[in-house]
Amino acid sequence: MNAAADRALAAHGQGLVHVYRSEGADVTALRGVDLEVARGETLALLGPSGSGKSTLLSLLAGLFRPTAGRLVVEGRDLVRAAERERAALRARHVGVVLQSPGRNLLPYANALENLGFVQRTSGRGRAARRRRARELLGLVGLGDAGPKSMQALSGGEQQRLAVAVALCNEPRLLLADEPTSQLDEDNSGRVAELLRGVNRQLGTTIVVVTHDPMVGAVMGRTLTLAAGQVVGGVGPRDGAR
Amino acid sequence: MVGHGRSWIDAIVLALRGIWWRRGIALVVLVVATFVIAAAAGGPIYLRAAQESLLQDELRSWPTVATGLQVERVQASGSRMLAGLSAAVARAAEGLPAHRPQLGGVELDGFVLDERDSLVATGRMVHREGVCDQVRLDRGRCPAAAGEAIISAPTALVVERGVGQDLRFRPLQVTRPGGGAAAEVAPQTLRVVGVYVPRDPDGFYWHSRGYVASQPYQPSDGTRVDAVFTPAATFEQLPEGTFARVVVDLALDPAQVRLAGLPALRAGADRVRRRLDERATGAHVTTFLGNVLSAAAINRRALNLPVVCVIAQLLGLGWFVLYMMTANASAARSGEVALAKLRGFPPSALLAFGLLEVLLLLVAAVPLGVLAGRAGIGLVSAAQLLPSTPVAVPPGALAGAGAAFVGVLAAALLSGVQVLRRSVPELARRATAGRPGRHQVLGEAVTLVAAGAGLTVLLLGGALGHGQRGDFLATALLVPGLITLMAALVGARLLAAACRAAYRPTRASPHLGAFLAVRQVARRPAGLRLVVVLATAVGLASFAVAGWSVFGRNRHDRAVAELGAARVLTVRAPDQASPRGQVRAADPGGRLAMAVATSATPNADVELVGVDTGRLAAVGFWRPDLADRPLAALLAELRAPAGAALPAIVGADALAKARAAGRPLRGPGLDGRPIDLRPVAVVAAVPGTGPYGAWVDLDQLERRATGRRLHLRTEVWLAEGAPDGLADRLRAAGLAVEGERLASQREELFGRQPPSLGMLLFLVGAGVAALLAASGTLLDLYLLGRRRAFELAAMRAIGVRRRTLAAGVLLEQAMVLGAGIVFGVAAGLLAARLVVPAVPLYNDRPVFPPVLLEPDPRPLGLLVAVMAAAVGAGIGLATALLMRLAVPGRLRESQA
Repeated sequence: MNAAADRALAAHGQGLVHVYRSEGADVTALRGVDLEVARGETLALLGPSGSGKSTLLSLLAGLFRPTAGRLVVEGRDLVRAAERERAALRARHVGVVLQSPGRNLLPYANALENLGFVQRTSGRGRAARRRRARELLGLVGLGDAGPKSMQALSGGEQQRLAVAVALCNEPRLLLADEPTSQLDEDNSGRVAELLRGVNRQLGTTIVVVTHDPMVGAVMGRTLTLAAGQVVGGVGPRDGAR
Repeated sequence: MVGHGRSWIDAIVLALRGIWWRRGIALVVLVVATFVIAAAAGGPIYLRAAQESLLQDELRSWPTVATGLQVERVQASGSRMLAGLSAAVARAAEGLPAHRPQLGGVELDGFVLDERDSLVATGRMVHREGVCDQVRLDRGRCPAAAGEAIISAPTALVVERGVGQDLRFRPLQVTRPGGGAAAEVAPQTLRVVGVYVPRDPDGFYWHSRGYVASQPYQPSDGTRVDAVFTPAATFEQLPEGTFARVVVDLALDPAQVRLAGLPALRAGADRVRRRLDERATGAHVTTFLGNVLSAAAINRRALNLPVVCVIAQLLGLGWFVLYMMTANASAARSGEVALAKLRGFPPSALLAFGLLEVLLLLVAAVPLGVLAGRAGIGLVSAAQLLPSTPVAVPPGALAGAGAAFVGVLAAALLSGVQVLRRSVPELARRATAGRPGRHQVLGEAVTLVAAGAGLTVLLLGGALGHGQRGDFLATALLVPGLITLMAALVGARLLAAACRAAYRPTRASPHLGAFLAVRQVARRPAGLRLVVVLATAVGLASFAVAGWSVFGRNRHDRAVAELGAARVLTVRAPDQASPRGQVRAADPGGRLAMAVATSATPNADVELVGVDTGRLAAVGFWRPDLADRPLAALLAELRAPAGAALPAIVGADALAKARAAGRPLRGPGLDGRPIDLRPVAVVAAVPGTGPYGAWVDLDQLERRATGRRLHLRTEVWLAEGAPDGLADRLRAAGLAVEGERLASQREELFGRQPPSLGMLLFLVGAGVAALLAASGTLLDLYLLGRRRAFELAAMRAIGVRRRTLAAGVLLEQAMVLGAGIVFGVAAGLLAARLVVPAVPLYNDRPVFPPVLLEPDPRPLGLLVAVMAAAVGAGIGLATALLMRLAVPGRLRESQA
C-alpha cells in the first residue's frame, strides 16, 4: 500500500502488535492485526472481552503507539507521530466517544459548556462556538438541553451529548467504544440510529467497538477479533484479514 | 482580544464550577495553602509585633531618667525662678514625639540639722510642680506658703520631727554658672505641715530623681533622707546670692513609642538639645535615650534569626502537606484531564486547564493567608506580648506571602504535572501509583543525606553549644526540624520493612484484615509519605511542647525565686516592729503568708533577711536541688538556740566576699549593728535576696535588735494561691501595705524576652502544623481509600466480610498514623534533649535558680493523647465512609 492509498483511507493498519505491562508482566493485546477503513464507512469491531478491540480503537485514536506494525490514520503515520501530533489529530480529525457516558463529559458543566470546552482548541470565536454547540445539540436531539446539568440528563441523553461533543470539531473519523453498553434497549437504539445518521448526514467515518447486535446491525461492516487477532469480517468490503 | 478575554472568563467560570464540584478537597487545598501563606506572612508580622513588645519592655525597664530628657540650670534665687527655663524648654520641645508634658522644679542639696545645728541627715529641699497630687498625706496638709514643708514618713522617723515642728535645713554650696562656688547660706527653718507617703514611688512623675523612697543608706557623712518638699516661694525668698538648681524634666511615654517612630524620636531629642544650645539658655541637657535605643536594638535583632529558623521549618512542612493535597486535587481531576487529552488539547491548554482550579485556590489563599497570619499573630500577641502591642502587616509580610505563593505554586505544578504526564487510559482508570518507584527512594535518600549533612554542619559549627553560658547560635533551632525529618524518613522505611517481615506470618493467619493491611502499607508509597509528614509534624510539635514546658517552668521558678515568694507586699508595721503578729492574725493556719524583715544597709557584706522559719516551707520559694540537705533540716538549724554567731543560709557570693576580705561573715541586724553569722548551708543565691543575702530566723534576729530600727524594711510574702482578700486582712490587722510585687508579672516579662518569643512562635506554629498534618494525612488516607473502592468492592463481591475488610483498613490506617505519632514523639523528645540545653532561656544569664532541663511530661502526654484521640476518631470516620463506598454494586461502574 502506498502513500496515495493511505490518504484515500480513513485508517490503515498493517501487522499491528500492541504489548503493555500489567502487574509486572507483559500482556499482548494485539497480535498482528491488519485493518483498512474507507472514508465514509461505518465499521463495528466485535469480539469477546479481552479480544483487543478497545486496544485497537485506542491505537486508532492515537492514545497509544503500537508496539509493532504500521498505522496511518487520516493520513498521519501514528507510529512515527509525536504525542503533540497525535493530540492534534484528535483535536481536528478524530472524535472519540468513551464507554461510560460520564467519562466523556465534565460532570460539573452543563451541556453547552461541555460543548464549549471541547472547542477550546478549535480556534473559533465564542459566538461561533455557541452556534456550533446549538447545531450539534439539535443534531443529537437535545435541542433544549443546553443549560441542563449532567445530573439532569438521562444516561441516553448523556451518551448522545457525548457523541455531540466528539463531533464538535468536525472530525472525519468518529471512534466510539461501547457507546450503548450502559443504556437500555430504547436508548441503545437511539444512539445506534444517531451514529448511522451522523454517517449519513455528515459523511463521517465511524468505527464502533460494541457487544450490542443492534449497533452491529446498523454498521455497514463488522470485524470480529479474538485473542488479539482478526477472526472474521462481514460486510460489503472485506477490508480486514 | 475581546473574544480571547471572554474565553478566559469562560475558563474561569468552568474552573469555579469544578472547585464547587470538588469543594471538599478544594477547601482542604485552600486551608493548607492559607496556612503556608499565613506562616510566611506571619513570620514578619510576629517579628514586628514581638519587636514592638520588646521595645516597650526595654524602655520600661530603664529608669525614667535614662529614657527622658533632663534640662538643668543653676541660677540665683529670685522670683519666677522656674518660669524662664520652663518656657524655653517648652519652645524647644515643640514637636517632640512620645513625651509626657514637662515637669519643672527647683532643688537644693543640703543637710538636715537638729536644734543645735548638728548634722542629722543629708537630703534635698525641693519644689516640684504638682507634688501634692502625687503623695498621700498621712498627717497634716500640703504646704502653701514660703517656709512650709512636708516630709516623708521614714524621714519623720529619722529626723524625729512631726507636723507643727520646725526643721532646720542648711543648703549646700552650689557651683555657679561659669564656675565658682556660691556663698555660704545660713540654715533655713522650715515648718513641717504634713507627712507624706508617695503614691507611686516608681512612677514617671519622680523622673528617677531619687526624691522619694530612695533606699536610705549610711554613708560616712550620715543618713540620707527623702526630699523635703516646699513651695516655690521658699526658694524665691532665699537670701540673695543663694544659687539653686532649676530642673525641667521631659519623661518619655513608652506607650507612644513605635518602631517606625524611632528615627523621629532620636531626631526630636537632638533637636531639643540643639535649640536650647542655640538660644544660649545656659541650660544643660542630659539624655541617654540614644544609648537605650541602641541597647534595645541589639535585643530586637536577637529575635531575627530564630524567627527565620522557626518559620523555615513550618514552611517546609506546610509545603509538603500542600504538595500532598494538591496531588490529591490533581488526582481527583484525572478523569477531566484525560478528557482534555482525549480531545487533543495541546500542552499549554492542557496545563492551563489542569492547573487553573488549583491556581485560583492558591490566589485566593494569598489574601486569606495574610489575614489569617495577622489574626493568628494578633491572638498570640494578646496572649503573650505586652498588652496593647500593635500588630501591623509590614512590607516584609507581603513579600513573604508573595514568596510563599511562588512556593505553593511550585508544589501545585510539581504535583499537577505528574498527572498531566500520564496517558489517557491511565488517567481514565484513575490508577494510583504502585510500589515506591526508584525516583521516590532516591528522593528520600537525597533528603536524608541532605538533612544529615545539614545536621552535621550545624553540630560541627557549635549550634549545640551551651546556650545557658551565652554562646548560643540561633541556627540550633533548625536542628529539631532536621532530626525529626531524618527520624521520619527512617521510621517510614522501618515500618515498610516491618510490614514486609509480616508477610509470612499474615499469610498463614486466618485474619485477612492483617494480611491486607501489611501489604498495603509495604507496597503503597503514599502511605509511607504520610508517615513522613505526620512524624515530622508531630516531632516538631513534641519538641516545641517539651521546650516550652522547660521554658515555662524555669521562668516561673526564677520569677518566684527572685522575689522569694509568689507575691511580696511591702508593709509598715506600727512601732518599727516586724509584721509577725499581724501576719499570724491574718493567716492563723500559717500556710499562706509569712513575715519578713531586713535591715536595708547596702554597704554590708551580707543582706540579712529574717524569715519566719515556721512558715517558710509553705510560703517561700525553695527547691530540693538548691542545697544538699532538706529544707526542714536547715530550718531546724536556723531555729536552734544560737551562740554568738547566728545560723544562716548564706549566698555563695556573700561568703566569698567576706573570705576574700579576710573578715568574719557578718551582716547588719535590724538596728544596723553587725551580727556574726554561721553558715548552715551555702546556696548560689538566697531566694528573695540574691547571692549576697542570707536567711536567718526572724525571731532570733528581732531579739538581737535592741537599738532603734531606722533602716527596717518589712515585707509579707504570700504563697501561690493566697486569696486576694489576705491583703485586706493584713490591713485590718494593722499593717500599712505600701507596695506589691508579683512573681507572675516578672514571669510574664521573662516570657516576652527574645528566647521565649522564639520558642513561643515554634510552639504555636508547630501546633497548628501538627493539626494540619494530622487532618491532611487523614484526608489523604481517605482519598487514597476512595480510589481503592473498586478493589474493596471486588473483595466484598467474592465473599470477604465487611467486618474483615473494615478491620484491614482500620489496621492499615492505624499503622501508618500510629507510626507517624510514635516516631514523631520520639524524634521530638530526642531533639528537645539535644537542643533545649543549647538554647538560652533569658536575655541574661542568671546564676539562680539552676536551670531545670527536664520537660514536664504532662503537656507532652496531653499532646500525644489529643493527637491519638483525633487520629483515632478520624480513622474510624474515614473507615466507615470507605466501607459505605465498598459495595459490590460499585463494580457495575466501568473502571477501564
